[in-house]
Amino acid sequence: MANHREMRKSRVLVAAAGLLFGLLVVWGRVGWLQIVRHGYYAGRAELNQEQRVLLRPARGRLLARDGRVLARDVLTYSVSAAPKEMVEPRATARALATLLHEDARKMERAFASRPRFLWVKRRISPEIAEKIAARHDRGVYLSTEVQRVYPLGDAAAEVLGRTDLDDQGVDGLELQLDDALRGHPGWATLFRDGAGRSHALPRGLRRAPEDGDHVTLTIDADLQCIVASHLAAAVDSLKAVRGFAIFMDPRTGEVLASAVYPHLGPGRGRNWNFTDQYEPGSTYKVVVAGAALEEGVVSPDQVFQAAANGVCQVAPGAIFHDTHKAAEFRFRDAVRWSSNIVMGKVGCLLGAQRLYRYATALGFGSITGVSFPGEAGGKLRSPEHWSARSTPTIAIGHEVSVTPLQLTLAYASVANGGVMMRPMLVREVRDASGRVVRREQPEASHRVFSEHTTSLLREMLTAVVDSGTAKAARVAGLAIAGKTGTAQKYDAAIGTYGRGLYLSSFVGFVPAGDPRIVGVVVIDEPHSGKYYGGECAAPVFREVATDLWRLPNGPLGSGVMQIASRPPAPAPVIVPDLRLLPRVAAEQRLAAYALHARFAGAGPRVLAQEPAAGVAVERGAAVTAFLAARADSAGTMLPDVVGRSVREAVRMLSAYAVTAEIVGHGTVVRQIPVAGTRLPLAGHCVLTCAPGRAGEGPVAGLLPAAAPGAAAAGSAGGR
Amino acid sequence: MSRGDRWLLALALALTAVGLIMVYSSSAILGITRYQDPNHFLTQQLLRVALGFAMLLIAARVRLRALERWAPVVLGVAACLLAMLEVAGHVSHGAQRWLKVGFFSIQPTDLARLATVVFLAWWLKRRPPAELGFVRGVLPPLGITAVVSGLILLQPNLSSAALLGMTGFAMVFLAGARLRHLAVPVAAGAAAVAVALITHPYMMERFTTFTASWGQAGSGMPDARGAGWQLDQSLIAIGSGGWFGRGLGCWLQKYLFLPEAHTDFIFSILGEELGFAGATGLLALIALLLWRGMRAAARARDPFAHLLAAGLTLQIGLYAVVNLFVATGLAPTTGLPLPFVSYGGSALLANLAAAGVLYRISAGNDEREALTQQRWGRAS
Repeated sequence: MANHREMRKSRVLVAAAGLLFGLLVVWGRVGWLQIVRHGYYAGRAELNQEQRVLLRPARGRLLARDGRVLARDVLTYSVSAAPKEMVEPRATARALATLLHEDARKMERAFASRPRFLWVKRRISPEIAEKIAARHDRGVYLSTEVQRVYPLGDAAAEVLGRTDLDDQGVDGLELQLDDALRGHPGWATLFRDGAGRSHALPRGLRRAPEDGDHVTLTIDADLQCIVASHLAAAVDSLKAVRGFAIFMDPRTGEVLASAVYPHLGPGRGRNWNFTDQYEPGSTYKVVVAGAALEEGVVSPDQVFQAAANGVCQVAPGAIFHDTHKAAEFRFRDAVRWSSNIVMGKVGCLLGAQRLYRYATALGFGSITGVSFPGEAGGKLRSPEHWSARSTPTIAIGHEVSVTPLQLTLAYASVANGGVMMRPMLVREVRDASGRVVRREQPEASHRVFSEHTTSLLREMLTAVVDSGTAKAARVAGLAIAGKTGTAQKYDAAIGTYGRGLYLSSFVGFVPAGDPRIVGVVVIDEPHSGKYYGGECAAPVFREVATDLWRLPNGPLGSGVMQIASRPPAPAPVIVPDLRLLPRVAAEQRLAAYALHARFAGAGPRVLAQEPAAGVAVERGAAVTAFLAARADSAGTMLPDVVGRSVREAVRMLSAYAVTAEIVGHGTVVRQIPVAGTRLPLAGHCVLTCAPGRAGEGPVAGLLPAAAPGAAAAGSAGGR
Repeated sequence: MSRGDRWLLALALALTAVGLIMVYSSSAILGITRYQDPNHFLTQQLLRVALGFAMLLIAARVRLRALERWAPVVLGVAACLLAMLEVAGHVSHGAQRWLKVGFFSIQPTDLARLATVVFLAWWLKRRPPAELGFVRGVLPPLGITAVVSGLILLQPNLSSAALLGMTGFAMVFLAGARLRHLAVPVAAGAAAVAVALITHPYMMERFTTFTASWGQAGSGMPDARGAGWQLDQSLIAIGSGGWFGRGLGCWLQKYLFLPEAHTDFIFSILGEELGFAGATGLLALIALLLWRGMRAAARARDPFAHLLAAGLTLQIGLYAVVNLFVATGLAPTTGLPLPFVSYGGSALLANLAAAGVLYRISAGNDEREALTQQRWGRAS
């Protein structure tokens, strides 16, 4: 018996040992998986998260300085297909091809070759999208995509840049400001059920996308269009290769317009105002003139010997020609008639070091740091690399190259009293809800000339337009100052300055007494017989100044409105009535009113809206449209109202026929029962609110002030 | 009735509590998508836990003598229910495992596996294989086990059938059968496994994916959506847990596609959320429970109680080990729940009832009762 019990005990021990050994093996395995292989599996888990779908944020807008839209997103639809999930892929392919006006056979082949996923067509109109949605085909998916539209069209294409099919900036300011405009994508996790369909989880892991910031540029939409049209006309009529022009507010350094022509199309177009450098010719004489006056090397009425035949050797190897031939010039007349000989001599008087110092002080030879991709720095060698003829040659604007932006900034310093400004393209960045993220202030870099010197220079440059080489820029009643430039182009093919290849330019500011606009116009290789800067480029400046003068609210207008003091004006818009419109129609209507659409809830039609119809709001403000509750299961759950304003929350709940009891005021911080509770509820939903984020967004702030009468008056006055 | 081993109760209930937490954590999302209610599975499980607790209390009060007397009847009923499955069963996941009785759907398998253990304890007490030899001592109990296993296999439910077979075999071993007699059924079992693999394609598929994953040392990417998917996801869940896991409820894999996360793969979720520390804790709980069960068996004086306790403990242990092997990729994927922890009705009821019986047996081990029994024996 005792033996028997011993046997039993030992066998129990064996069994227990076996089980415990099994557990020990598991323990070891778990340790291996969780500790040794942790890195690998954590990586796999990360990869797994690619099962999430990306929720695209809305790309921010680019706005002109007065708030007008220069670039914005509109919704389009894209069709994708998973032929594997279809009942009859071939029939579906044919039907889709008919709707999309595509080749049916090609579509069938595409379906056969890519059974898992393919884009059927991207960016289709809402009408066709609705037709496709109405077919309820299995395996056909409609997704909304955005398309970037530019209300100014080509006029501002090269400065604004473009986005690609994925709504990412590829050039211009769209590229430069991409980080701000892009926003942060959100994501939602999809759950795949037994049938292989994907469902978004109502309260699953998700992060709402953060829409991109809206960027207000320094660009003046009116001026941009004016410059673009006159530049295009000039380039066409002069049969020039190309032309570019940049305009700036000399007091702030804000770039008001930057146009180029011809428009080479996406991918090839560049804004030469920033990216191109050329030999400036006579327009560069402002450097030597300003430096000589500032240094006291010359006085305005000092007389210099020139040559009656217009040819003179200024330095060894430097034989200069004057177009306006005279035996002697006063200094101011040498500027007026753009005498190469005198300016070369003044350059020699000044000396290489001082010439170089002033050139660098005026920003030549280095990039300005403007926020634009691919900015060129120009070329300015240091004096130790100069030859004997370099000093006079550089004084008249050869052996150097500049960008139009650099030249504009240099003349801006003459116009504003001698201060170099930092160039600005961005005025303000606001986030999607209208809060200011960044506001850029005009910034003076350093002083180059004294007030006295610049007033002398302004006087001389006014004479250039009034009675000198740039008479073509004259506008009766408007004091314009400027300087022409006609540079022979260096022809790389023949290795010398080619005959008949010119680059004509004009730099000017207006009004000469109190300059508000400074601009550079460059016409490259005019082929119509005219080639002087005074003949080719100056008229463009004249036309721009004339148009700007005529503009009622323009910077040269009656003086009441000035660009620098003009705030980004709110342009009131009356909110249209969206109620009972289908979602797409509501969106279109809002877009027509330049309003931003936001949708809450789900359903085919708009049930209510916020702000109400008839309320005046800022252009570009968001209007929330509450969609009707659906009858299916997704609509039978309490929505999430936490984080909403009380007004919004109550409106959302009313769509579900749920009454709300409100505790506190401000923003909803808690809701009981929680979101996702099945409806109908036995009682009401208790919303606990706290102040804090109350009244956020411009819309809510505007509401109390917007009485119907005031709104009507506002609309009458607005554009 | 004297006090039994309270460790047994405490451990069983602790595992059940862990199970409740993990079931909630792993099934909330599924509950939302299927029933629009994150608490759906939790409330269901709570109901079952309540029922199971009642079952435990009842089982702890059933006198062993009565259980012994009714053992053949219990097995008969269970076998009948299993047979009924073939006629009126409810098909789910490609197998007929459920029997609808009013509101409840029960899995007769769980009743049958308990009944078989009780019956074998009854049988082996009366006909000790050590004394009766191979033909009369070893074959009959194994034959009866094989019949019940066969009924389960018909569903088809290979894993439960195999585990029952192993339990029966182990009980014959515990009853003292000679080792050379046991070699024959081992060979027969191996042959049966081979036949089953060949005749049932879905088993073969799982087996081959399993061996394939071993071939790649667990690091490869088994076929994306096939049978290897589940195992792969399970390993990712466990492996990404690290030392201390992502924290309770911070389970990422639940949004992805680890099917049956709240039932067969609940350990993976625990591994991801609580990490190596949590997994070690759970393993320790299970090991303690098995130790206390085996301790009760070793101390039981009556052969019936001894065999019953050992058998029940073995069964719980085998289910646990196999489930854990599957979850950690040490065994081919099968649908076995983790005792006490996994979501599921009848398995939980059966295991809690087993815990009750174990408690009762441990109470019988109490020294005072032993003394009383001795005194009674002397008096008679």
